[in-house]
Amino acid sequence: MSEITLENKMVREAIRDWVAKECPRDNIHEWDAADRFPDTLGKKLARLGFCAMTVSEENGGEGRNIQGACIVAEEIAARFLPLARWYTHQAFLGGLVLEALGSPIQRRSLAAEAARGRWLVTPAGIEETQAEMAVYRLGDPQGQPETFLVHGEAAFVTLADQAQCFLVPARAENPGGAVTVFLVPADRQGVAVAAVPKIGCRGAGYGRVALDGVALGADDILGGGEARDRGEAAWQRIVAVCRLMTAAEALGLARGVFDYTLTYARQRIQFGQAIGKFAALRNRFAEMSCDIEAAGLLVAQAARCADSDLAFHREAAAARLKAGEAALRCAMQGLQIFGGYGYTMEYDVQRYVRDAAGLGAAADGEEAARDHIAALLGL
Amino acid sequence: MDHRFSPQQEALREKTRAFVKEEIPEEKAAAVEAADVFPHDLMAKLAAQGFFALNVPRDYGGDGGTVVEEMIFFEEISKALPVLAWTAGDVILYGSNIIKTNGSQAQQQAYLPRLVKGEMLFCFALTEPDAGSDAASIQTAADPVDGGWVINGNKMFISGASAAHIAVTNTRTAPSKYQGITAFLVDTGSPGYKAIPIKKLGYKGSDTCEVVYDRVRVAANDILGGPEGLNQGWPQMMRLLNGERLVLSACALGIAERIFSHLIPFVRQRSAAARPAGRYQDIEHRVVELVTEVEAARRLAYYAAWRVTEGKPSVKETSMTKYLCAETAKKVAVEAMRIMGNHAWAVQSSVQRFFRDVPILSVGGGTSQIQKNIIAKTLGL
Ligand SMILES: Cc1cc2nc3c(=O)[nH]c(=O)nc-3n(C[C@H](O)[C@H](O)[C@H](O)COP(=O)(O)OP(=O)(O)OC[C@H]3O[C@@H](n4cnc5c(N)ncnc54)[C@H](O)[C@@H]3O)c2cc1C
Repeated sequence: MSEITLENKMVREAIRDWVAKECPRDNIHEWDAADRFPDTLGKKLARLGFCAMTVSEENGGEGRNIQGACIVAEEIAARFLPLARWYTHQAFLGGLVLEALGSPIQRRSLAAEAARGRWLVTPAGIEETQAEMAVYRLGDPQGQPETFLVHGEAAFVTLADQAQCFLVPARAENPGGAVTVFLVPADRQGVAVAAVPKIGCRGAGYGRVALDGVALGADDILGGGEARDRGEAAWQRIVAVCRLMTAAEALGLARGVFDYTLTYARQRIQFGQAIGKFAALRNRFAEMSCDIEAAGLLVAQAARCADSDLAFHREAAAARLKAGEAALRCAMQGLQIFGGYGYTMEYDVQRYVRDAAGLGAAADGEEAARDHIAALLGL
Repeated sequence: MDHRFSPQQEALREKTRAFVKEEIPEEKAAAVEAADVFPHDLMAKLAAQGFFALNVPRDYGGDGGTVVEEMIFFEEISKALPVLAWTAGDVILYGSNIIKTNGSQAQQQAYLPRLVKGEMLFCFALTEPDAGSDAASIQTAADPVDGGWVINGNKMFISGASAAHIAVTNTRTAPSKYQGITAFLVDTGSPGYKAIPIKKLGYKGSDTCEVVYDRVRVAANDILGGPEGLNQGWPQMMRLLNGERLVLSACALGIAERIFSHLIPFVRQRSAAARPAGRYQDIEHRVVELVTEVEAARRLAYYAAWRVTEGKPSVKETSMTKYLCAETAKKVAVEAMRIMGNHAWAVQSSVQRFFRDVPILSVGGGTSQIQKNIIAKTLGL
C-alpha cells in the first residue's frame, strides 16, 4: 500500500468528502426504502470527473487510473453500495471495458460517453452456465449489411432498468459454436426487462433480461466485425473487470460497516464500560481490521496490474474472494456487536447486512472465482 | 440417560406440523411478514386448536407439558413462520410460564384458565434503552403511593407490548442491583402506558416496542407473586431462563431445518447439471457440515431439556444450547445466502426471510457473548 500515490490519496479525500455531503444517512434510508436513488447523484459524480478515471485522454477520459477508480468505488460503497454499483458499471464496464476491447469507433464514441457518465453498461449473461448462454444466428443471408439475431435470457442483471446497454455473450447456434460478445442497446426491439426485487443493494435494481431475436449488426459486436466468434477471451476479461469492481465494492462495504460499528462500540456502555473494551469484541475488531487491510492490499494489487496493462484475472479473482468474505463477515459481526439496536431499521448495520448478503453471487459468484484460481494452479 | 420423545410428544409434533401445513402456506408467511402486524388471526387458530394448553398445569385446564413440549411446538412453528412462535410466546412463555412459575395462587387462578383459551396476551418488559445485556441495571422506578405503586420509566424492545393485555414489568424498588428488582403485572390499558412498535430487519409482526410508563398506577397485589414478590424480580427471572434459552434454541433449529429444505434441493439440482460432474463436491460438503452441526446442536438442545425436566443442574447445558443453536442457525442462513446467491437474495425467496429472522436469536434472551460468560463461570474460569 506504500505505493498509493499522492494523487490517489487526494482522490480518496475528495470522494470521501463528496459522499459525506451528498449521501447523508437519513437520505439513504429513504432511497433504500424506495428502492431508488436520485439520478442527480450519478450526474454529479460524472461532472466531477470520477467516471473519466478509467478512460485515457485520447478517448475522452482523464487518463487511466484504475487504482483511483477502485478507491472511488470503495469510498462510495462504504456508505451506499447501490451508487458504487452505478459508478462501477459506468466507469469500469462502460469506460474501461470499451476502451480495452472496443473497436476504434466504439472506443472513441462509447468509452467517451461512459467517461461523461452517460453510458451505463451491464453484463447480461454472467450468471449463466455455458449451457444457458445466449445464442445468435445469422439474419436474412441476402440482407446487407450482415445481421445477427440474438436469443437468450439472463436472470439477475444488475441495473437492468437503468442501463443503456447490455454486454451479452452469445454462442453461434451450431454445436460447439464460438462466443461473440454483443453490445445490445437496451432500447432495441426484442429486448424485454422485468424487475426482480431483492432485499439488498436497493436502488441498483435487478432485472430479468430476455432477448427475443434481437437484430444486431457488426457494429454491435464488442470489438467490431473482426471480433465475431472471438469473444471468449474478451468475455474472460470482462469477468475479471467485474471481479475487480466487486472486490472494490466489497472492500468499501467492509470498511463502512467496520467504521460504523467501531463508533458504536466505543459509545455503547454496558456493565460500566464501552462494549468495545470487552475482549470478546475487542479481538473481533482487531481481526476485522486485519481482514480489511488484507483485502485492501489484494484490491490494490489487482488494480495496479490493470493500470500496468498486465493480465489481472487471477489477482482480481483473489481480491474478489477475500474482499467478499471480509464484507460479509464484518457485516454479520457488526450486527451482533450492535445487539438489539442492530436489528432495528433505525441503524444502518441491517442495511449493510442486506447488501453484503448478495455479494456471494456478484460478478460470477465466489465459486467461479475459486474455480478460476484452482485452474491456474493446474487443478 | 433417556431422552426419547414420548408418544404424546410425538403426537404434539404431528399436530403442530399439521397446523403448519394447513394454516401457514408459504404465501401466508410472506403476507404476515409484508404486513408487519401482529398475526391475531393465526393466534386465534392456535387457541382454537388447544395449543395454548400445552404447558399449563392440568389443574388449570392445561395439558401439563414441560419445556420439551414447548420446544417441539416452537421448533415446528418456526419452520414456517418464526414470528408466530414469538407471538405464541406472549401466551405460552410470558403468560403461562411466568404465572405458573412465579405467580401467586390468586394470579394463577385469575390468568391461567384465560391463557389456555387464548383470551389474554402478556409481554415481558425487562430491557431498557441503557440496560440490555446488563439487565440488572434497569432504572424504571416503582414508588409506593397510597398503598399501591406508581411506575415511571422507559422500556426498549418489548415484544408484544402494544398487543398485550398485561405487561410483566421489571422495576427498581430498592438500590441493591439484584435484590432491588420487582416485577409488576401492569394492565396495558392503564393511563400512562404507551407502546410504540419498532421497525426491524426481521421477525416482522412481533410488535416489538419501545414502552413509556408515565405515572402508571398498579396495586400491591399486582406484584408478580403477590406482595411477597417485592424485590424478588431477579430470582424469579432466573427460574425462567433455562426454559427461555431452550425455547429460543428450538426456534433456531426450526429455522435452520427449513432453510435446508430450500438449500438441499437447490444444490441437488445444480450438482446434477454441473459440468464437469463433481464440480459441486465442495458445496455438497459445506451443506453436509451444516447439516451435521445442526444435528449435533439439536441433540444438545433436547439433552439439556431432559436435564431440566429431570431437575438436574442445567445452566451450563442450556447456555451452551442457546449459543450453539443461535450461532449455527445463523451460519446456515449465511451459507445458504452465499450458495444460493441471487436465488436467495430475491424478495420472492423465503430463504431471505429466514436469513433476516435468524440473527436476533444470538442477541435476544442473552447474547452469545453473555451465554459464553455464563458457561465460562460454570467451568470455573
Ligand atoms: C426483536 C427483539 C425482541 C426483543 N424482545 C424483548 C422482550 O420481549 N423483552 C425484553 O425485555 N427484551 C427484549 N429484547 C431485548 C434483548 O433481550 C436485548 O437486545 C439483549 O439482551 C441485548 O441487549 P442490547 O440490545 O442492549 O445489547 P448490548 O447489551 O448493548 O450488547 C451489545 C454487544 O455487546 C456485547 N456485550 C455486552 N456485554 C458484554 C460482556 N459483558 N462481555 C462481552 N460482550 C458483551 C453483546 O454480546 C453484544 O454483542 C428484544 C430485542 C429485540 C431486538
